[in-house]
Amino acid sequence: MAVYIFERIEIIKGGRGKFIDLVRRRWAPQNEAKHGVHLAGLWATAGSTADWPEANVMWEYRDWTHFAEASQAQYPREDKDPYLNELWRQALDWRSGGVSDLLVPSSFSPDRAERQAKGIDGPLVQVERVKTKKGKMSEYHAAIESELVPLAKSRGMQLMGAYRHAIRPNEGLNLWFLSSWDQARDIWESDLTDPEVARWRQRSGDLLENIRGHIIVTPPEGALRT
Amino acid sequence: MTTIHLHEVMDIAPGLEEPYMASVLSLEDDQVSRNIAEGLEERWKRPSTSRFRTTDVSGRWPKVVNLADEGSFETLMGSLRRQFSGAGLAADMEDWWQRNTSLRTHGYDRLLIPSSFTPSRAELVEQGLKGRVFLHEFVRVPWGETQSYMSALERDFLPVASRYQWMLFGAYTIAMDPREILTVFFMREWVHMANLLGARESDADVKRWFDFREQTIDESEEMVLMPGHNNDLFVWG
Repeated sequence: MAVYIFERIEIIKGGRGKFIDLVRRRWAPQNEAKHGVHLAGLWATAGSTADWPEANVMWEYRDWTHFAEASQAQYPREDKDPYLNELWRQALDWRSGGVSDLLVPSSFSPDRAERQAKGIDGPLVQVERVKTKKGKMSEYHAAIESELVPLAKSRGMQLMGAYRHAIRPNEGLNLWFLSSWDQARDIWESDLTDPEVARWRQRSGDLLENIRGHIIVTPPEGALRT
Repeated sequence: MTTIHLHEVMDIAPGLEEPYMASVLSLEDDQVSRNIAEGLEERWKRPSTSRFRTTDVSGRWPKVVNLADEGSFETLMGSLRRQFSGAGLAADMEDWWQRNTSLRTHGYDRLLIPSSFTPSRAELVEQGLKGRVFLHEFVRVPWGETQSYMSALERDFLPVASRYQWMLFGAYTIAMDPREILTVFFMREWVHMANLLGARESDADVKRWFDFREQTIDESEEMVLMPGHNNDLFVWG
């Protein structure tokens, strides 16, 4: 089963486009070629919905063994991987710091290969950070699989993944692909009135302490973006 | 006399973690000189700090974590009097502080009280133990449950951790914060950390511990750390 790192990167001095370009063109190819780590996603946080300016990067490891091999081969970077270390140094002009989450996917979350094979993709991703009631993560994931995935599918949303944090108890992340801004508008409008959505939210209240959603977007290529 | 450790989490100017840790080491030379001059008890003469920095694997970064070797509330009071009470102000520390404002912007300190099963750093060094990766985790438990969490950690998890070659650096309660606990485990190789985290569904003992954590912990905040190059526990090569 795959393992993921999801990073939120705090951007400084209008450097979001340059930072994303560096990850897309240089960091990700090096990380894949040298360490076999796949770029699972690269997004900017959409202002109006959450923190900004912010970039988001998601890395996919084949399994825990691969995670260990790649980490062992990479840290400390100045000793083990001078090229990534140089890119890290260059990125200092555009980012200050970040927060990473080490994530384990639920059994029904497609990995990168399955997503590519089945065409599961989208330019927008709705992120849901969840904290379950104590000990309820497995039950919550079961409910997502049996109840929410069919509902989301009927509304045109595709599950990228539902993950539990590998270390932090009762915390997790859900990622949903959206096909367009028009679809996002329709979904958020119908969130307010759809009885099935209301029923799911009632159900979520049995399982969750909290949930917070926002949108991240795959920006077009080209560095001259904020 | 109660043994305590000073624990600091610093917000570091990005990319300057190692220079800051080297600077902390230089401060300790000043402290050694002062302690000897003041005739402090032999065991407190040579302060030394374990210095760590964040990876970008999990948790907030970039940070540097300092965890001072054991001291006492009495030695702490001496330090605080020098810094804040005007008597015998430490000019060397003031100078050091001002020289490092370009390396760090902010910090959050805690006073740690080690559990009875926490080894001293000297013991770890004497045994030749080292680690490439340290899992540093604050957990917040319900009121009145810190000691029962500590007991469960010692009784239920340490034997499991040992099987996976996780070594205990320390387990601590926090002065003035009755709900918080810090645990720090270290692993010689990254695979040791991965093997335990990956065994949640395959090893009943690991699952039992993770289930207990899910039922018990209200909040937690982890950092996956590397020792600084000038940390005795750093693995070269």
